[in-house]
Amino acid sequence: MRPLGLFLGVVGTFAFGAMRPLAAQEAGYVVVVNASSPVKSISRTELSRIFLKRKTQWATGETAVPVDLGEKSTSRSAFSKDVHHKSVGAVKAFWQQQIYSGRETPPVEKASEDELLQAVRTTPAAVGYVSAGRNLGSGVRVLPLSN
Amino acid sequence: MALLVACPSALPAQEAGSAAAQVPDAGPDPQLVFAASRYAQTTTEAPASVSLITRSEIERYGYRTFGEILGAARGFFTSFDRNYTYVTVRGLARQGDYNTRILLLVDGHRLNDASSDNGYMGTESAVDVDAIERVEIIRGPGSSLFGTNAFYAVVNVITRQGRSLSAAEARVEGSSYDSYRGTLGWGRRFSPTVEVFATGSVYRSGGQRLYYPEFDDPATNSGIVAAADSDRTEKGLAKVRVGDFTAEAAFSRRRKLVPTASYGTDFNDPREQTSDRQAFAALNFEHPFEDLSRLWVSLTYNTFRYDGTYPYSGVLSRDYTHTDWYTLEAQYLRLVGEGHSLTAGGELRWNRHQDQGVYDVDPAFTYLDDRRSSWVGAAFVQASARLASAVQLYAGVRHDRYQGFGGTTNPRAALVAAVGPGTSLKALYGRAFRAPNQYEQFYNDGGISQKPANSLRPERIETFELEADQALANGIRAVASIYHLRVRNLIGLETDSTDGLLVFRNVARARSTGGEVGVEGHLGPMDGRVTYGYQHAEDVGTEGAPVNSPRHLVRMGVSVPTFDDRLRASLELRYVGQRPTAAGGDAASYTLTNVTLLARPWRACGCELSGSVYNLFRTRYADPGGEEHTQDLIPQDGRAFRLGARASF
Repeated sequence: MRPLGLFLGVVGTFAFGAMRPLAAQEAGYVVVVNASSPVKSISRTELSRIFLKRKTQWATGETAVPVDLGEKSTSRSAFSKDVHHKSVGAVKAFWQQQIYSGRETPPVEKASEDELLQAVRTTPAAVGYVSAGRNLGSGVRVLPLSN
Repeated sequence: MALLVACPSALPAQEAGSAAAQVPDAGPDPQLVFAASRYAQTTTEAPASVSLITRSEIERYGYRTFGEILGAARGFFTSFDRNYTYVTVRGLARQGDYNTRILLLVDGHRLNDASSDNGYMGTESAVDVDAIERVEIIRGPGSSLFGTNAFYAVVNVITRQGRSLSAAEARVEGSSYDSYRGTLGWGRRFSPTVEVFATGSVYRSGGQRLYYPEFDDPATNSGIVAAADSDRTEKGLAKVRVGDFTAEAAFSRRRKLVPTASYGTDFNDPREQTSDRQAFAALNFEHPFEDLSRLWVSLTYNTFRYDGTYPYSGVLSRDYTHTDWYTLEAQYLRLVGEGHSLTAGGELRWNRHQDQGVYDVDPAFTYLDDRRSSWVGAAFVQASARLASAVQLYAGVRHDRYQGFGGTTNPRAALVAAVGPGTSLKALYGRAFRAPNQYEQFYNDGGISQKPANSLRPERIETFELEADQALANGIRAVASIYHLRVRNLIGLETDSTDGLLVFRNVARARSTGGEVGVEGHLGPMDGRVTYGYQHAEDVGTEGAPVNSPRHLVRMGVSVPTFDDRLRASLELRYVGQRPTAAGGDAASYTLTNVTLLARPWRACGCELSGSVYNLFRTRYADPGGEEHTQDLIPQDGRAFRLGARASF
């Protein structure tokens, strides 16, 4: 049962360990929205709720459209740990339960950051994330995190 | 399809910015399975050998009963004694076993009754075929999660959800042997949090005129049964989901005339009949927390009533099982780190009534009037740890405590590894039990021929299995598995030498070693599957194959769409090898060929016409009869037809 002991150790670490909030750039990603979005900033908690579809509307009443990157993306990994405080694997497992129980489907995934930026550029209510320091091009801007 | 879960962008309906991205209109992903771990995961991740059979396959291949659905799975086949349907898994089943070693779940709720463990699979099953969205078939021991009956397999029937109907739906069909069925359903998904589904069906079959040479005597109508094969069922199911709560209720009722004069009853007497009624009502709560952990709580009420009428020299004898029970279950899933999880839960079952009896009607005489109640409590834990990026370890254990025999602890362990592109390997080990049921423990006829058992122990099984799964090009998937099952403490009737009375005891051991291979997927517009199973089962001691255990099983299905999928033709072949009979003979091998045409000519109205021919080439075949039958072989149906029409409005 040694693997179980190892596993319980991992449980304790992740379940109860506190995480110091970093700036998004420091964590390796930036949150992006359509340039026309009226949203000025967003908290990590609110952002997490939008990507988990617990919150489906912006403050303006418009339906939020979260856009994810593929599971293997390093930006997704950074975003997931910084915003959801969970690994990509845990979030995937969460979505499997949601799909199975017929509640919701996960945000659309884009295969590359270029495709994600294009989706945000053409969708006014979209929100996504890409690696920090990347050239965003026109029609997309960074959404600052408020905490 | 597993790739779709990992990469939802492949779903065209979810383009960013479209309204469809917010409200899924498809059913749950068909490759997700719940009953392998008590939470949803893909079939390749699951720590068990899993088959899923979906509603589209049920429609395409024209499956009429739940047993026909199960019979399409690797390693499974069914037999029929013109009353009940019996499922054999990997060559193992006991004669007279009403599927007590398969755990039957409907939407996760246990249906095997609390008195005699019956898991009904034929027209007597609890859920109508039209109400099924898909069936999860989990081979191997499931007691580490579900307790008793999860012995050879766990079968979880997932019923349809409101979204699978545009509004109301009606289906009528007529088939051979003066048979008719009608179904009405209604469902709707109002929002991601509110969904409703309800359905009801009625089935009537006049049955067949049958001939049994064993009774070919002028005193017994020359072996002819003219009108004692009819079958009548009524079934209904409704469920409502509002947010975290789901309420579900179902009932089914069947009355079947028994034409075989089983248990030595009067031949050709239409009063020999069985009546089975079952119902359940469940309230479920499922809540995802902010930290992505999840809590499930359910309270279920089940009731089950079997009544049998048996004429002996004109005197009617009746037996019955009347059972009802409450089950409270709770489980908690915590997702931890990169791919780890911990599931813990418990179950409390109060068997409020576990009554059984036998009596003569006129002159009145009671042989048995046994009334009981009991408690069962259980707790389980299952951990899943990612040992390396592609290696997952599952370890779980459950302890069940019974008022009768005490406690039993059953573990399961599995390693699931992705060893290459599209290749996964599973190494599986588990133990399971079946608790002695009320019938085995307490049934007796007042000491005339049978006495109640004392100190029966649970039956036990230990399973070792290796399975490899390879994703090939164009969505084709190949599966191969080898397994070894060891069974002990099997409960059976034997004669006590001290008083000459029959009594149930832990008398037998059995084992089965075998392998299965299968390929399924799409080839151009066609889709299909072919599987082969080899199973070497034997009763330890006699070293002979168990009754009704074939060495070879082959299943093949191919479905071809034409006219832009407005017309679909599907062909299915089922081969079952030679099987020993109870009297030491053999039931010959057979191949059945079934063909179904499905036409959806007017898509706007959601109409559908279907036509099936079963046993196209009129193969003559028979299933072994149980000890309760005079017939060593019970002939099965010849060629049969079914025509159906469905309309949505």
